[in-house]
Parts: sequence; structure tokens; C-alpha cells
Amino acid sequence: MLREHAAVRDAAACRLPIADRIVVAFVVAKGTYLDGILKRDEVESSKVKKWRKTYDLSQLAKSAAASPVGFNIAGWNSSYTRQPLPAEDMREWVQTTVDRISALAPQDVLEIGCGAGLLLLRLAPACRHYVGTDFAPSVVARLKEQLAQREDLGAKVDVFERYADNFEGWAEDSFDAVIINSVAQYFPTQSYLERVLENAIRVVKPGGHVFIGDNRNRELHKALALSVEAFQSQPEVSAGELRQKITRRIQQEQELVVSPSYFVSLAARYPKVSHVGIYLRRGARDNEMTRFRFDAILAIGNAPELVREISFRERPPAGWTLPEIRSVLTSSGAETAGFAHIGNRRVERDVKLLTQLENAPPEQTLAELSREIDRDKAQAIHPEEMVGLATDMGLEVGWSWASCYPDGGYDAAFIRQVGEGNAFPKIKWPGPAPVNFVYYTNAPGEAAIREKLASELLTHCRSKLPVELTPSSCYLVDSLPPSGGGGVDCEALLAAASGLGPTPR
Amino acid sequence: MDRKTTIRQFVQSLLTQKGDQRPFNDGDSLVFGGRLQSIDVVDVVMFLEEQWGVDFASIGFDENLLDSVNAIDALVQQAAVSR
Repeated sequence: MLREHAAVRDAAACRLPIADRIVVAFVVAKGTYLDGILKRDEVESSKVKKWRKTYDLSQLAKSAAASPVGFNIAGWNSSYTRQPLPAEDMREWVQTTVDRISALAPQDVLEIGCGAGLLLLRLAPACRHYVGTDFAPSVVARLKEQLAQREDLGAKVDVFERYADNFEGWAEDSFDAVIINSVAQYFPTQSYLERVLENAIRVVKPGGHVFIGDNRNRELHKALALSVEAFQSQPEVSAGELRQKITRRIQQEQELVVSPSYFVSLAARYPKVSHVGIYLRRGARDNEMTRFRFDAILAIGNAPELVREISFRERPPAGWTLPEIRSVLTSSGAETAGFAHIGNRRVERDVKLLTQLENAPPEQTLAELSREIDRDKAQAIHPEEMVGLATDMGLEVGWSWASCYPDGGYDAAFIRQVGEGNAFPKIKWPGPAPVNFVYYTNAPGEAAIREKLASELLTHCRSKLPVELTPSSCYLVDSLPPSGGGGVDCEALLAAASGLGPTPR
Repeated sequence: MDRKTTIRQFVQSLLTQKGDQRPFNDGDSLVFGGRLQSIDVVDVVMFLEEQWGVDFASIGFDENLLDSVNAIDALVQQAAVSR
């Protein structure tokens, strides 16, 4: 019945397990239909232009003019303080990103959203040809001036003013790497992101990569919102008020926040994608980028045998500790070892506070909640702590967020050293649970329209169906995860809708 | 309508569009207080450019100077004097 409606690409009806008279409908809307009612072309164009203006304005700040060449970090402001992020944090952010991309050893690169050249000026010297694009004219102009003074780069770097979804003139299989670093959050919609990635995948040669870096993690969106609100609030703020602040912050979010599951899903939808890696950001500095963001690396057209299978040890009941991991590595003497669901020290406190808050009586204060969680000793492991351990044992270590654990935990794999400068091997990492595939991203600015469409679909059902079959509610979702038995995973859908999974839209 | 009232009404409409109906005073922090994000500040900038011809390319850009109704009013006053 729902599939008859012009808006619907796919639909499922699920009965509540505790009250099976109640039916809940889940709908994947047709992209073209949503584009129409949302006037998506206009909305995207208007949003993209606003982000462009935001970026242009940042270049008019005094800090931009005073920035050293190659390190213009104007506009990089903390969500917590709204002040510029510390330069040392940004230096580490730049270097760890450059290191990760350099390990892929691309020769012909397309960077979308190259900005002031933070990556370009460091990566281009090792490349044969580097194309950078950005939508902000003032930034492009300044970068071109800087490049004109670099004899080593002049002949091999081209910079263009372009919107991210403009791939005109670039043929299939023409680059080793497309880099989209800390740009995706400014894409206005999920469909815009998909359009950019579809083209990026098209233009990368087999053996190459699409690097989508510094993505805001939707699985930790609530934890970040709480972290910021708690920082900005007085200790006496009540749990009730804090919950309202978080809800408001998430509802008013203007940036695109993406689940790792979205990138994982690309491998099934684009045959050219042979592997998807979802990696926590490297870095010892404590900031919102190391805590809450990740890099996605799509391998294009590699032979399947290059993806290594290793077995991941299940998390013990009390969680992994560093001594335990060392003991396993030492006693097994294996060339490879995987550890599933390691507690993440970077976000441990934020996640604990969120759990306490969600169960707290409304009058309890932030100060009281904080005292409760600070009583417990930190148990989780900071990812960087394992680097020293790996080096001691002649191994390399990588960490993945593909599993989308709700507590921000990660999986780690130790592998015999592959050689300096090489990228971490492609591993068959544990993947997301079905519930994580229900919503791929938030939908900034679309809440009212989506509610209206959901309401329209319910009315459609009421007009066509007997009462006992009519859904009581309808949710627009990004996909209908399959169950093992060939149907749809209703448990995952109902969990996502009730908020037991990641934040529902 | 005086300039400050015009600014206040514009900020009010911007907040209402975002679903933020909470009252605010002219001295309340809007940007650093978390009520306006960077992309909302662009709306303020465009409003000031259109309404009073404020030229940010010549005066520079600083979010601190757009943080409250009072601050915005002072900026517009300063920009008018500088022209």
C-alpha cells in the first residue's frame, strides 16, 4: 500500500513486539520526490552559497591575513568556546592527515575543498599532478598567489574555483586519489554527498583511493552535543534543562553528520569500491576532531585477495586493558591479532555522562552527575597508547570505527610491520549492526518537511486500509536493513526509531 | 523604526526560523552563547550588507562584533562613520 505512493521507493511495516496490534511504518523515500518537495536544487544552492560566504568571511578576519603561508587556520573555531582552535591542535591535525594520505602514495590527486592549501602545499611536492578545487573565490585567489611563488609546484598544481559536485571535464579513472577532507559536513544534504562520492569513485583509477577525512560521527552526535552543552553550562544546570539543550542543539544542527555505516554501505552499492576503512583520527591532542571525527578511505578496484581476514577476539566482560592486550600479543606470538570493542578513552567520560543524564531525574544537577561518573576510575584505552605497545612488539596497529559501537568503542588490529610509509593493510574489519544502517546521516533543516511527508503517508494509509492494518506512526529512513531470513530487520528499525540505536531524525 | 529595533526584529525572526522562541535582551550573547551558529551569522552579515551597506571586505570580519544586538548596532554605527 505504501509502495503505491509516489514518494515511496521502499517500505516496511513492523508490529511492536509488546503490542502487536500497533503497526509502525518505515519508508525509504524516492530521492527525486524528496528533491521536488524540498525544492532541493534551490535549498542546496542556497545552503552551499551560505557556507561559501561563511568561508569567505573567515578569510576577512585579521587572523587570516596574519597567518603564515601554508598554515592559514582562520575559521577553525572550537565548538566549545567559539574561539580559534589552538595552533598546536591544528598542526597535529594537519600532520596526521597528511601522513595518512601520503601512505596511500597517490601521484595524480584531486582535492575537493582544498581551502587555503593546508594539505595541498604539503602533499603536492610528492605528486605528479595535483588539482585543487574550492568554492570560495577569496581562498582560491590567495592560494594561487602563494603557488605562483613556488617554483617546485607551479607546473604541477592547478587550482580552480568550483563547487564540490562539479566534476565537469574529468574522465573516468583519471586520478589516483580524490581527497575530500573536512568538507563533507558542509554538504547541504545526504544526496549531495552521494552525488559527490559517486563522481569521486568514477574518476579514481583501480588501485586508487577516495579519502573522505575528518567526518563528524553521527553515532556520537548526542555525546558531542552533551559535551559542548555541559562545557557551556553552569554546574547547577538541571538534567531536565540539559536534555532540552541537547535536543535543541541536535534539531538546529546545520552541518551534515554522517554515520560510518553510510560509507560501509557504499561497497554494496558501487562495485568499483573494493574495501572501506573507517579509521579513528590519529592524534594525542584532546579536541573535538580527535574525539568525535573519523576518516573513511574507499579503496577502488583492488583485487579481493588484498583484503586480509583476521580474527577479532571478543571483548572480555570487564573490557580490554592494555596489559591484557600486551599479554595476548606476547603469548600468541602471532603475526596478526584483532581485538573487538575496546573502550575509547577519548570519549569515555562524555559517553558515561550521557548515559547518566538519560536516566537522571530532571532536577539532578550537572555537578551531581559529574561527581557520580568521576568516582569511577577511567577504564578505557586511548588509541595512541597502543602505538607504543605495537612498536615494542615489532607490529603496526590500526583502529576502526566501522562497528559503530554506541559507546564510541573501536576495534584494533595488530599486524607485523608492513614497511615505512605504507598504508595500514586492508583488513576485513567487523561491521555495523543492522540498526546503524537505518539512518546514514542527519537531515539538517529538513525536519519539518519530513514530518509533513510522514503525516501525508499516514493519511494515505488511513484512506486505503482497514483500521487494524493502518500504521500508527511512520518514519522516513535511509535504508531497510535485511534480516537473515530474507525479510526486513524490524528489530533494528524499531530500535532506531525509539532512540535505542543512534539518534533518530 | 530605529536601527536597533530593526536589528532586534531581524535577529528575532532568524531565531524563530530555527525554532528558538526563547526571549533575549539586547546585551545577550547570541553567537558565543550558542544561539546563532556560523551559518546564521552569514544571514546577519547579508542583512547588514543589504540594509546599511556594511562592507566587511573593508572593515574586516570578527564574530565578536556580531555577538549581541548591542554589538551589531555599534558595528553598523562604526561602519557608517568610517565611510
